[in-house]
Formats: sequence, C-alpha cells, structure tokens
Amino acid sequence: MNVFIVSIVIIAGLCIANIIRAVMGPTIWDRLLCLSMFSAKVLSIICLLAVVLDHSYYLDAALAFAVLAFIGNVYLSRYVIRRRKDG
Amino acid sequence: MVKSIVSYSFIILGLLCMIIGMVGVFRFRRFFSRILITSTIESMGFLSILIGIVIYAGISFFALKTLLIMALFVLTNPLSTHSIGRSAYLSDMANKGDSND
Repeated sequence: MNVFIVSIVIIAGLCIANIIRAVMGPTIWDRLLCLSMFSAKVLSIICLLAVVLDHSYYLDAALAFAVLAFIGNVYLSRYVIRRRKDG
Repeated sequence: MVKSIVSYSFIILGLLCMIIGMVGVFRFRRFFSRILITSTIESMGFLSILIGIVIYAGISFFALKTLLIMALFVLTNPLSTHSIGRSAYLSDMANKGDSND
C-alpha cells in the first residue's frame, strides 16, 4: 500500500513541474500540450487514490474526467486555429 | 506476493516514463518534438500505471472499470494530441523555434 502513496506524491510533484512549463510556454499550443499532459497525470492520481482508499466509485469520476479532458482539448485546439497568410 | 511485486514493478516503470517525459518537455526546444513526447511517453507511463493497478486488483469489478478507463485513454489521447498538432501546423507554427535539438 505504501508504494501507491509514494507514487501519488511523485506525480503531484510532476504536476507542479507541468504547471511551471505551461507558464513558461511561449505560445498557446505549448499550453494546450501541457493541459493534455496534466489531464493524464490527474487521471493516474485519481486511479491510484481509488486503490489507496479502496473505493470503486472514484473510477467513475476518472471516466468522466477523461471524456471532459478530451472534449476540452479538441475544442480549444480547434478554436485557436489561425489561417495562413497565403490562404 | 508475486502479484504485488509485478504490480509495483509496472507502477515504478510508469513513474520512470512520466519523469523522463517531463525532462523531455523541458529539454526539447521545437514544438513538434514536444508533441512526440506527449503522444508516446505520457501514454506509456499512464498505461503502465493502470496495468499495475489492474494486476494489483486481480479479477474484479474494480479491474474492469480500470480497463474501461485504459480503453478510453488509448482511443482519445492520440486524437487530442493530433488535434493540437494539426492546429499548430495550420496556424503556421512549423517555421518558428530554433532547430538545435
């Protein structure tokens, strides 16, 4: 059981590094990429927490979060398309 | 006992993949190199961690739900990464950034 808690702490540290990279990113596409990575890390934290607390219904929240992260990524990346100058 | 050791090995492998992916995202300068990191290394880390959880849980309803999340992630993460890359390419992002990778 101890390995799960240690891995949750390590992934939380990686999330902080991911937020630093998102703030550093010069364009909006870097920030979108960091959002995609961040959602994968949050998903793995939720699944590990479900194992630690031994509650099966945390995984439903993880499922809903996966769908919402996918829709958010696709919608935002289609929203920020700028066409080229030469058509 | 063997089951726990195999499960812990998968989780530690996934953590190593996530740490290497984070280092790569800080290290690479061009945008399209960083897309490679997100699309492969992050998926590898996430799937390894979830395989470890499935092995730890054994044959149960918990493992079935975790497999459902894995299937959804395998379907959606390449799609969202491709969408971000296509958006950057259509917006003329390919010529920016220095090329010293």
